[in-house]
Amino acid sequence: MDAPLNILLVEDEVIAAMLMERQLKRMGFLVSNHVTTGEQAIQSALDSPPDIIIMDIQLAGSLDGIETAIEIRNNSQVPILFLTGFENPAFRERAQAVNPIGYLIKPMNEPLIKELIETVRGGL
Amino acid sequence: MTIREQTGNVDYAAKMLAIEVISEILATTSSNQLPEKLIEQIHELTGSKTVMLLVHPNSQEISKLVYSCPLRREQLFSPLDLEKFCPTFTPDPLPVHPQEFPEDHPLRTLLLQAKVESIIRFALHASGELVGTLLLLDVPEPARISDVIQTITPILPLTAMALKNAIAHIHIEHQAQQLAVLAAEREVHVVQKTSELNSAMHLLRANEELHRAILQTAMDGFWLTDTTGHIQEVNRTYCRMSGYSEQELLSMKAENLDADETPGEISKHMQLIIDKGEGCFETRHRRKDQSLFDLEVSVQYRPREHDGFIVFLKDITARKIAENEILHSLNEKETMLREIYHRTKNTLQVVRGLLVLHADEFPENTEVQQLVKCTEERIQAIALVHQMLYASKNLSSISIDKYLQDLSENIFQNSGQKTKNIHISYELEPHEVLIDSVIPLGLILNELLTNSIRHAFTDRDYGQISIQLHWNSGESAIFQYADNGIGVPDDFNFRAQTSLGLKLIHSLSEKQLLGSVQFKNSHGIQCIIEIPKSHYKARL
Repeated sequence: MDAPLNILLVEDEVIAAMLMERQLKRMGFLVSNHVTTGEQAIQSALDSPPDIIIMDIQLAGSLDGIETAIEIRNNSQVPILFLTGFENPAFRERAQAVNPIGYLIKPMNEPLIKELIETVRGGL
Repeated sequence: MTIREQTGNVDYAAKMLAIEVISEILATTSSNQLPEKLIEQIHELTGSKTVMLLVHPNSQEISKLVYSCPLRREQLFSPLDLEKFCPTFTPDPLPVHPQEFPEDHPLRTLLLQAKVESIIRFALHASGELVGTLLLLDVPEPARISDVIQTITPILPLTAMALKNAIAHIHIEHQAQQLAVLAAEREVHVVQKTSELNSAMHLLRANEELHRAILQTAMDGFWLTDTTGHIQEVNRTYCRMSGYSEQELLSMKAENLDADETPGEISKHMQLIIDKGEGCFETRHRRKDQSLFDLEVSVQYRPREHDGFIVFLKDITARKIAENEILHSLNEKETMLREIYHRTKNTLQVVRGLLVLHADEFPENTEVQQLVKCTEERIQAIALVHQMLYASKNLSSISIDKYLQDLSENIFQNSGQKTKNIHISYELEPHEVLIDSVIPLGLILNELLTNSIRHAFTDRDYGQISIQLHWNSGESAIFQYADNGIGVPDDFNFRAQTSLGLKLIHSLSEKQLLGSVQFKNSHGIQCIIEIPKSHYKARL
């Protein structure tokens, strides 16, 4: 059996995060850490480097998801998947700076997310 | 003693006398007085009671027609009667005594009435022209008429010449008088015209001063420029606006003040105004202290009077600030509204999450699971509207075609394996629809689609769903939904069912959209909803 993936979920809405954790669990993945701010995400990525980060763009705190990802990218090439509530071309363009594995709109498209995570697992 | 008595020779004596008379008169008399002097002399020489010198009637346009000696006898005959004494050619000798005149002779009555007892008439010729007539009336007897004639005859040429000169003199005087009158009239006219001109000039200057005063005290700035934009005149208002003195501005051009256009652009702009005759635009000028101010500029090209531009410059800095504030406020409100849509969608997701998470506590209770699943789908249908409104341009309506397709795809995605072999075809005419109509239609589609996914294809591996929306005249619509599933029993009464799904479809179609709904059961379920022109008005 494959070792479980170390997933870092960055989502400021706790209920939404709980739902996503539930969906990921149903797909066979476990969230190893959930944080609500960019600062916490950067720290968590340093303290316990994840295999994949699922990142919301609008976050609590002073950093948004893209700024957080750029900061993390300075120290790590961890795959980052953006999952945001709204389509925003400006955000999508900014997000390309960290070469994400995906930029998806909520609600979670389970088959697509599963495929992306499986691809990451395959590359490990 | 007369000359004749002295010499005994009348002819010689007459000539001598004539020379004597001529010499004396020429020595003492100016030409215009010659006729009077001559007849005075003739009066004295001949002893006639009256001597008259008549101007020939052809000598027109003179007031003096008769010279008489003595002067009081001038009125002896009327001017009209006097004309009768004037022959038009060298006259035949008249009888001397009126009684000897023929009875019908025109002068007979005149002479008798005037009690003239004798008359001698001489025609006066000068340079071959008949110029007048000399009349000697009442020559004293016993002087012989022939002696008198002989005495007078030598001085007739001089008399004729004197008369002609006098007439010429009178003519000249008359013309001089006419010229003087004319000159006086002209002078009056010139004075009058000069006065009128002065008044007009005064009025013009007053108007000019008034216009200048208006321009100087106007609320707007004013320029007069040539066609290169060089300022030729500027009012105090613009001086105040710009901080430059009038003297400084008169050495500047538009390009020295305009902060928004380059000299090349200004040149093109001026050419455009020359072509069109006028122009109105907004720009910014740079003050002397280098700060900027907003202007609304109105320009007229005046090729006739000035060959340049008349420019009015209105300071709109305050208006621009207000506009920017309004725009800023509007942007703020728009951002706020989008944020509200965002939060509404998130809130709906939280509600949905709470339901789903709570249902997890009852994994074996299918009724709870079913209820939560249906509610979750309905919440998603509403949340998608807010998600699309967040991204919409006008914040009050969204593209119904895109919404229905996105909603269908979301439902399919969340239905997992069940939709693997179900195909949806769309025929959706684009249209922007207000939120008030979108949500009911979304909920109806959600009920129909989830019903098809759960029940229509239970006996087969594949399915076909068709979703159509057509607009009539752009406002009323026909929504058609169909699947090719198992359908329902023939006696199935759609309206009599108690399930929330069918209740929602009927209620939302008929009560909220004010339309009509019709179900058909033929090779699957078909639902046709007619939606009238929206009764909702745009609120934003």
